[in-house]
Amino acid sequence: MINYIIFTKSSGEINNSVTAVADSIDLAYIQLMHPDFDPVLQDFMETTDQVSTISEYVVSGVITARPLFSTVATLNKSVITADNTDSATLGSGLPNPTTVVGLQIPDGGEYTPAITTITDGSLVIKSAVAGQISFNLRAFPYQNQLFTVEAI
Amino acid sequence: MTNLFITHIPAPTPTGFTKQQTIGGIKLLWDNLTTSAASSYLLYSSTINDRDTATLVAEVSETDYFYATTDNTTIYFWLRCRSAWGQVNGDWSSGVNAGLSSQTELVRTVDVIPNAISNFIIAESVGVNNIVSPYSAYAPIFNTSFTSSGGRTIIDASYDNLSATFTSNNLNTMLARVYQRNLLIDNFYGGSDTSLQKTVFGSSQVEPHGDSNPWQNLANINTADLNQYADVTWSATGKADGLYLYNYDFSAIPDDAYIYDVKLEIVMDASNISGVPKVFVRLCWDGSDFPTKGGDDSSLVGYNITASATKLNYTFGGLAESNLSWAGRFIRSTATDLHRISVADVKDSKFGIRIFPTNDISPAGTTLKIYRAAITVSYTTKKVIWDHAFATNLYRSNYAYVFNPYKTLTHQLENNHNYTYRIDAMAETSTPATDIVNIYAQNCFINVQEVKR
Repeated sequence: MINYIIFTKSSGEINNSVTAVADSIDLAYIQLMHPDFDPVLQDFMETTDQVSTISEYVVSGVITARPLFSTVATLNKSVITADNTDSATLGSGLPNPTTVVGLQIPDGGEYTPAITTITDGSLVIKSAVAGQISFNLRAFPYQNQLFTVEAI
Repeated sequence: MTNLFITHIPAPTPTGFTKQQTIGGIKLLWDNLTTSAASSYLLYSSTINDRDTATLVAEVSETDYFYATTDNTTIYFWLRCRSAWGQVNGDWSSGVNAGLSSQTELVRTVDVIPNAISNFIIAESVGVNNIVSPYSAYAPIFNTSFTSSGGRTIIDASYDNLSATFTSNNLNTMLARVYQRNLLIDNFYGGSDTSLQKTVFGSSQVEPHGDSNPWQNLANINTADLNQYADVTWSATGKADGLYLYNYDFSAIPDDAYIYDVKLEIVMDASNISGVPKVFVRLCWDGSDFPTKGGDDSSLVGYNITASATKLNYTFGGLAESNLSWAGRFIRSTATDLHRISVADVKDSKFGIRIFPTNDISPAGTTLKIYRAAITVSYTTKKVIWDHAFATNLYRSNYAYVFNPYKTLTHQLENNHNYTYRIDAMAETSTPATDIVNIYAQNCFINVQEVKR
């Protein structure tokens, strides 16, 4: 078996990590097995082990661990009072921009405007509605992470 | 700092507030705002046109109320909604001095014609674009709406080959749901969403790597006790045996369920992490004999874990990992079986976890301890009612999804109520993106029949 990865040249983001039953791989093999492969934007390389598409990426041809959000920002509390006053702060060194995706809020709640990116390094969370608030943060090359705050 | 403030959704403002003057009282009617998250309606009245003097008459969930009175006095009414979450925080039906006025009738002037049916509509299909959090959207395939006035009513609506467009590049699942009176019928045919976790396996098998350091204490991880572990030690050759745990017994899952997620949980540590000890974990689902090829598939990517010196819990897949969704991409690669993992797959006695300590461990003598190797299967037994549907351009392939067979929808109607039925197709994606996915529904139809009482 051969382990190989397909990654984005510009960012080093690993798009596929595959263990294949093959003696060797070349461009023709990659294009056959991955019809979506774009040789202009993507590259491939053989690896010693299986590589995680989630926690690793390619830096100058070397498999490197993607950093954690916790190295730049942490949530100061995970439980807040649902009084629209108490708050939890995630900060203060989030990358610019950091994308907020998968926001889940309690039933009966709404937020305006929709939060899609954080450009100032931190996020303050308040709620008048009891329940769980959760969201994912993305800012490559940091590992995607799920954050959860409980409003009670 | 960026702010995320969550407030209560206001109850909707009442609409269609009107009256019918009748003998012995006033009948008040208003629109059904259930789809706007109204759970009930609060009716206030006063003998003067000043809302500040009004008192609560009743709080009802219906869309009409008979206000009994015989003295022919003019009464003023205001209406307000309670939200589905219990809040009375929306606007009134009208201003403080603009109440709906009415008196009781002294003479009856009209009768309702029985057995009348009106307002039967088949709506156009609606496209859905720009899917955003939480990565799912619904597209109505068609609607039927009618008013039942009693007697025998047969409504038969069907439409063929409608389509809805979703914006997505990673379509994980498609579901169909039926709405009645604009409420989701979760239990119309019964069923629920369920997650079943198994921490105990029935069988295990070791893949020898040529050294003489076999796995020890395998029975110890076959308990719920996270203080018990099985262990293996890397030999001087730098290798350690692989491990295959299977026969987890998912027999409790109904055969007609739909698997929508599989999650693994590995709890482990290593005695020495100077050599960056790694373990490769993947699923084996089709029951092929181990260790021969076929128990796993090259297109299914496993996970490489770097072990910690302290006991840690590692999970893979799972609904919370919206961009990972291991099981969501758990697609067979054989040409003859192009569907997601099935109930038969997870019930197969060989369905399990393969664990490979990798070769780059050092120094020799490092011991790997595994305290738990669990599998959680999430599934649904909810039914859909259209004949069949299929989708194209699903997640980098042209897989066809065939839904449950058509079933007759039978529901007894009440007189003088408006009913709306709707079939929706749902696309659930792992990430919002730009590719277009077309969803087609063929031969979907609703047949509603009222039995005369």
